[in-house]
Amino acid sequence: MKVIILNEEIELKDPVLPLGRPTLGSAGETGDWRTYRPKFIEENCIKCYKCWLSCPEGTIRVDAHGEYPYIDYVYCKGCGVCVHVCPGRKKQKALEMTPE
Amino acid sequence: MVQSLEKPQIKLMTGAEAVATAAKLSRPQVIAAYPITPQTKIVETLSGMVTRGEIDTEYINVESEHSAMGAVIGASLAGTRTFTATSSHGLLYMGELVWWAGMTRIPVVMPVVNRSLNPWNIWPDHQDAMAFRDAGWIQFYAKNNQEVLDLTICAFKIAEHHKIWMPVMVCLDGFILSHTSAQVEIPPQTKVDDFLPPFKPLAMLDPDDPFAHGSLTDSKGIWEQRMSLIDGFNNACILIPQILTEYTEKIGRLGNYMIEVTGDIKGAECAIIALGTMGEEAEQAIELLSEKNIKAVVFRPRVFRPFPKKELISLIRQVPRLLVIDRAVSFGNAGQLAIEIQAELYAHEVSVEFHQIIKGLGGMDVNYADIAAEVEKILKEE
Repeated sequence: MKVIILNEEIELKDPVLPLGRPTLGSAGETGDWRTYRPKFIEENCIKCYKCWLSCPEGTIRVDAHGEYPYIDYVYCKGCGVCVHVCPGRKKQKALEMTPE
Repeated sequence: MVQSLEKPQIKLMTGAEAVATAAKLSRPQVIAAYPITPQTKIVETLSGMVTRGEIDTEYINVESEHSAMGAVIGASLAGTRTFTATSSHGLLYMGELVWWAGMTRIPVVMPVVNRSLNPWNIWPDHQDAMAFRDAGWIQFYAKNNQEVLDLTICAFKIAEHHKIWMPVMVCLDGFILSHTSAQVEIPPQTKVDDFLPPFKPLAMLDPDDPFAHGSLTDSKGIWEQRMSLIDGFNNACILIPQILTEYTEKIGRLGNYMIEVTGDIKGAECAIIALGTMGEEAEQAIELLSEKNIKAVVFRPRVFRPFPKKELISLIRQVPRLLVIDRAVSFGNAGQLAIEIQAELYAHEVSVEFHQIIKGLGGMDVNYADIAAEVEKILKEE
């Protein structure tokens, strides 16, 4: 929209509204918040997917054909919930926290 | 209330009733408000109108002012025209969400019936609204019940203009306006409908196209928002007079000025600047002064945010001295109106004799004789 004031044409800008649409990593690359990294140990994994179910940020993915879980370290904040819920095999957890 | 469709109706009503009538004529779809003295009569009148079926509005009974603003923010985002009203402590309690509405651009209209703050005092001063001067709201200060009605209707059009899109406060002095009856001309509904078309949302919450409003934002996002708000106020500076002109043409009376000038500016020895009812009192003061052969003029800004800088400076250049009367204080400095005018004087290198006083805090009476005496005192001192 343009208005003319004292022979001067002024362009009126549109307001910017604080609208957020669902997107990957809308709060930025949160992986750099991490001080401990959940490390995956494949031989202890029983594919129960409790880690995938429990991850508060949805950074654990499971491949389509019932494969092992995969952690997206770009967004994983290192909260450790996945390690806590992991039942493991013969009391050996498939996830453990290791310093970055 | 039976109202003819075409001719304006003249009624004796209080400022609070004028607000309620203006709200009714503007057809808000959602009203949520909590009663507080001296705003109570607004809520009372509106809820009566809703109960009697005089307006088609969703009236939400809320448990606090905080909830009232929360409800209207939600309702506005759902695509409805919204209205609330408050005063003093209610405004402070609403505080967090007042800023929310301002910073995230919610076009709600809220009359604020000015009342003093702590300790307990129910009488008028501008301290409550001034506390929210910087909250991203447009602020009007009305001088009489008629202006209260006219500005409230205009406020909806201003808030909802797609190049402005921000909340509007219409400030009226508690009791002096809110509880004092005066003659008010009520425009017919057809004319108001012609001036104020139905609400057109800029963005509307929609389950089929989901988005979050005001969610976590990084510094870049905040910067973008704040700069846009500055642009919005610049737009408002240009568009408010246009909208007031449209109101005056379609409905009448109001005038399109940001600052009302009363008296003869030529040869005036002193200009009195004051907001709201003190501005109207000053109009009486200049008559009293003219009997004593003192020429004075009144500049009454009726828009305080955006601050009408250009208009003010062009007026101030024509007078030799100023008397700014504030009804609120920015503690540690001076009255808000005085501070802002001084800033403009410096920015535009205007040399004028500047006087400021604070008057009428906590509802202390300020009548035209007091104002005239202040002007005389200034002139005598020289």
